[in-house]
Amino acid sequence: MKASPFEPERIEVTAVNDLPVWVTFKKKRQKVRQIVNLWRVDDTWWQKPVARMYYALEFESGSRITVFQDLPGGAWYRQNWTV
Amino acid sequence: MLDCSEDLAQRGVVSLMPLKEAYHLCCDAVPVLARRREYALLWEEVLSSIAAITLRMEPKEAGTVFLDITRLPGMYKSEEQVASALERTISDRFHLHVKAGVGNSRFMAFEAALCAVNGVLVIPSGMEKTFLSPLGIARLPVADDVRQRLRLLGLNSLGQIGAFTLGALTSQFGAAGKELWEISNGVGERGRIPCAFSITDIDRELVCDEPVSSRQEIKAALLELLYGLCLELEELGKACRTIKIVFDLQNRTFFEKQFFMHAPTSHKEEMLRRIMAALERVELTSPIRIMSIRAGALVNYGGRQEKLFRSRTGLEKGMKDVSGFLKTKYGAMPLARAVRNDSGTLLPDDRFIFVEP
Repeated sequence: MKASPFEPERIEVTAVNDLPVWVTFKKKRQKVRQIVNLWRVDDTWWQKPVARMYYALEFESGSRITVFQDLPGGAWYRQNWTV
Repeated sequence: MLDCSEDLAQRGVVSLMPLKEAYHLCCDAVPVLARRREYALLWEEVLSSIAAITLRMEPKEAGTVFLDITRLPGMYKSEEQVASALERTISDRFHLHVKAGVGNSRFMAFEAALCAVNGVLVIPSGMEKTFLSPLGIARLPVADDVRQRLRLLGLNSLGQIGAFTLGALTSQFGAAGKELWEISNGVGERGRIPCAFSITDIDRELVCDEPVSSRQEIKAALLELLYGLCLELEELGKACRTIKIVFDLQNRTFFEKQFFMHAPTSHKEEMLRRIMAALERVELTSPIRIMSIRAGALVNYGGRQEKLFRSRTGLEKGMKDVSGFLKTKYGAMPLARAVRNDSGTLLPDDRFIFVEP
């Protein structure tokens, strides 16, 4: 069944000192060349607290991606426009 | 309440909010007695320090100011450099912790500053939607009833709002829907911030690598100076009535001359023509080491107005003259003809009706 567009896409990330180094998504493992930008979002979505650490990453292949770590749970997700 | 910590700001508390309302949002907040006078004086000093970087500033409330760096001020090469310089200036001088955000609208810049981890966060072009999408609707600068309706519709974040079309949002929320669409798509208000202080004159200086003496070299150096000067005038929306040149000569003497322009100007060619015409009649005693130019008696400049309405014949001639300019600017002539309007009004704009092609 297709996931809801409002659900973030879960990805696998290998982190060193809490910083992403390897990212696996769409069955492809890619090495992070640099963290272009990082920011933290602390918010409340209808009384549900949201705390996320965002990373704009650049891979060695040159492509870019924005991922976030859900801070209470520690799971990693790929950011898209609707979540 | 004068100001609040970042933790409170992220929970929806804003400066100048009544304490009761702030407690409602954050019951564990700890109040600190405000010293209004000292706070206001310090904030004035902070703003004066920021003026060294840019004069285009819009204080929102004590502790928050929006700066316009559409054209990067001074020697800065990137937005990151401006923001870092700002952070350094304030923290070095006042020992205050600064958070700076750069974005293409006031809303985005403010949110970027709140989310910055290392003190500075720049949202580059193309990243606006990605950055805005996880932000909650509590941060939206909209009326409470609009926010409540968004909640009832199950929309929690700006990303969810941005997934709708402009038409869908305006049909549901009216004018507020347009605002919602613009903010969530990163195309919020972009009006330029005017200068916070009145400027009476601006200067430019050029130190020549080698002393210059020939007319051609002087003209080239003056043109370079005037280019920067006119760019700054344009940036400020000003024109100058006077120009003063000062040449520091190699034999340690000075040459200076002031020019009064017939009409306020911000055109470098016009200034150059006037200066060069005056220099034709002058014999400099030694080559020039340093050149400086001051544009003085600045006035607000809203473009040049053609005197089209003086007389009927003047109108026809003026229309003919201005049509070439309009054709070049708009690609086609936007006016077919001007027809006299017999309304009896004295306002020139109402005495004629402009007919579009």
